[in-house]
Amino acid sequence: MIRREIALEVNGRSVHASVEPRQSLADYLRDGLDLTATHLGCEHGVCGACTLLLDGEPVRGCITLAVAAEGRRVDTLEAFDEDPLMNLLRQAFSEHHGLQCGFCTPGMLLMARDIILSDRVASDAELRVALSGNICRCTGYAGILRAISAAREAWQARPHAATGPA
Amino acid sequence: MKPAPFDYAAARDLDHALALFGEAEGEAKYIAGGQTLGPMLNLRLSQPDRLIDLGRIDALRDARSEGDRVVFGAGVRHAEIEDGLLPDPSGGLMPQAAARLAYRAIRNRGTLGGSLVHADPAAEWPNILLALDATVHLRGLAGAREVRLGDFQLGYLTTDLAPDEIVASISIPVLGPTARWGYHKLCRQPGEFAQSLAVTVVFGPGRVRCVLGCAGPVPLLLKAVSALAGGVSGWRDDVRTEIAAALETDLSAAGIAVDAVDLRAHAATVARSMKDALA
Ligand SMILES: Cc1cc2nc3c(=O)[nH]c(=O)nc-3n(C[C@H](O)[C@H](O)[C@H](O)COP(=O)(O)OP(=O)(O)OC[C@H]3O[C@@H](n4cnc5c(N)ncnc54)[C@H](O)[C@@H]3O)c2cc1C
Ligand code: FES
Ligand code: FES
Repeated sequence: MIRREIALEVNGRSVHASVEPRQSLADYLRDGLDLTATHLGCEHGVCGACTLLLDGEPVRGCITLAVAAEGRRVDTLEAFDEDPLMNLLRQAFSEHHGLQCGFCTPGMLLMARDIILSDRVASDAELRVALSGNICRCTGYAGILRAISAAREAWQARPHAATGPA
Repeated sequence: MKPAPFDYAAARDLDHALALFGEAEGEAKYIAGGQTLGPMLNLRLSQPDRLIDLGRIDALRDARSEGDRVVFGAGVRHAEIEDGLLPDPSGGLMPQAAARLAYRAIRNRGTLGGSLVHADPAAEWPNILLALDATVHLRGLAGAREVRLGDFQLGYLTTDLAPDEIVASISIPVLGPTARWGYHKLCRQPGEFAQSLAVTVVFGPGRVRCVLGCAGPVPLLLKAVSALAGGVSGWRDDVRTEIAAALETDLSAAGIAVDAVDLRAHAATVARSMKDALA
């Protein structure tokens, strides 16, 4: 079996591993590091359940090779336990029926956080478009959209919002 | 769902990538963003023996103005175009199209070069860059060459690229200050591949390139429609019937038969793109 040594940073920790080149980053995180917040649905880029951050940007973990993450920084939902914006999002998701079975939720949360921080999305219509790459089979999306809007308002209204660091 | 086993090597630069290709045993394949090849590997539609990763080649990530053209490295990502971080030869057309190409998590990885090489007639860049009259610059084991995009895509998912050749860069003429464009993508869910996609670029008086995706095996440069658009001054709603007729002329000249539903969809996207370009 062909294997490659890789070194990368996962959730702030340096890790070294020996992986098969064909192994996806999502599989490596789940099977190699027991980081199971990254879910796998379609495994061909369509559903968004496997969304994680690579060098700070959301990507699909199912179609990113673990070997390609050599030397890079990877953050999964597990990295955001203390993150103030993620805490607002988590609270808003439970208040607004933003999840039911929870399968899509890690991807939704990471995408929502990126959407709020990047300021790319101004209107609710644009929010729908920005979330179109994350599929939810339970909620019908309305609760998710309400939750993200609520978290965004809370985030923008927080003290020192205009000057404070993200 | 797992890919069949393969070997992997990351290339440092173009020469290294070509050397890795030359020494490979069995089928070698380049990978850029992996946003098309990744699904194909997972589905085992593609089973190469070795992947050569172009993702770490800095020269492929560059975009710069060169006289009256902008030259994009093939590894420029859709999201970088969306965010307007790079010189834009297209007067806003490319950033607007990029923003509706797949989803942000895919745009963060997928590249201009990968999209052109995959050569899907429903994809944004093969159509839009054909309308903008782009040229691709290739590097292979036998040397360098350049090909106009109109001669690059030969058929459905098929290009003029030899297996060892790499798209190094894509050069696009900068639109003049009076140029106009219109673009319309029809799809049920934002970010999906188009059901129909049309782009009209008016370079100057009488100089129009109108391109239609999804109708045939390759993006179609619509000659009759482009001539029609070049001959009218400004948009009139009654020009729609003439567009539909010109479109039928172009499709039959290309030997393409589409059913009535698709024909209406294509006529609508072409008309909308033309309206925005002429209005
Ligand atoms: C869910 C989903 C939705 C999508 N929706 C759309 C859409 O709406 N519109 C759209 O246009 N695209 C869409 N895409 C495709 C996406 O745009 C891809 O990023 C793009 O088609 C391929 O770029 P890549 O860099 O990922 O290429 P890769 O997947 O890495 O490679 C694709 C092919 O190109 C070859 N290749 C790559 N770079 C080079 C190079 N420099 N020289 C030579 N060969 C090269 C590879 O060998 C491979 O054959 C979608 C993808 C997914 C997964
Ligand atoms: S599992 Fe990665 S997009 Fe569905
Ligand atoms: S909560 Fe079940 S898939 Fe979204």
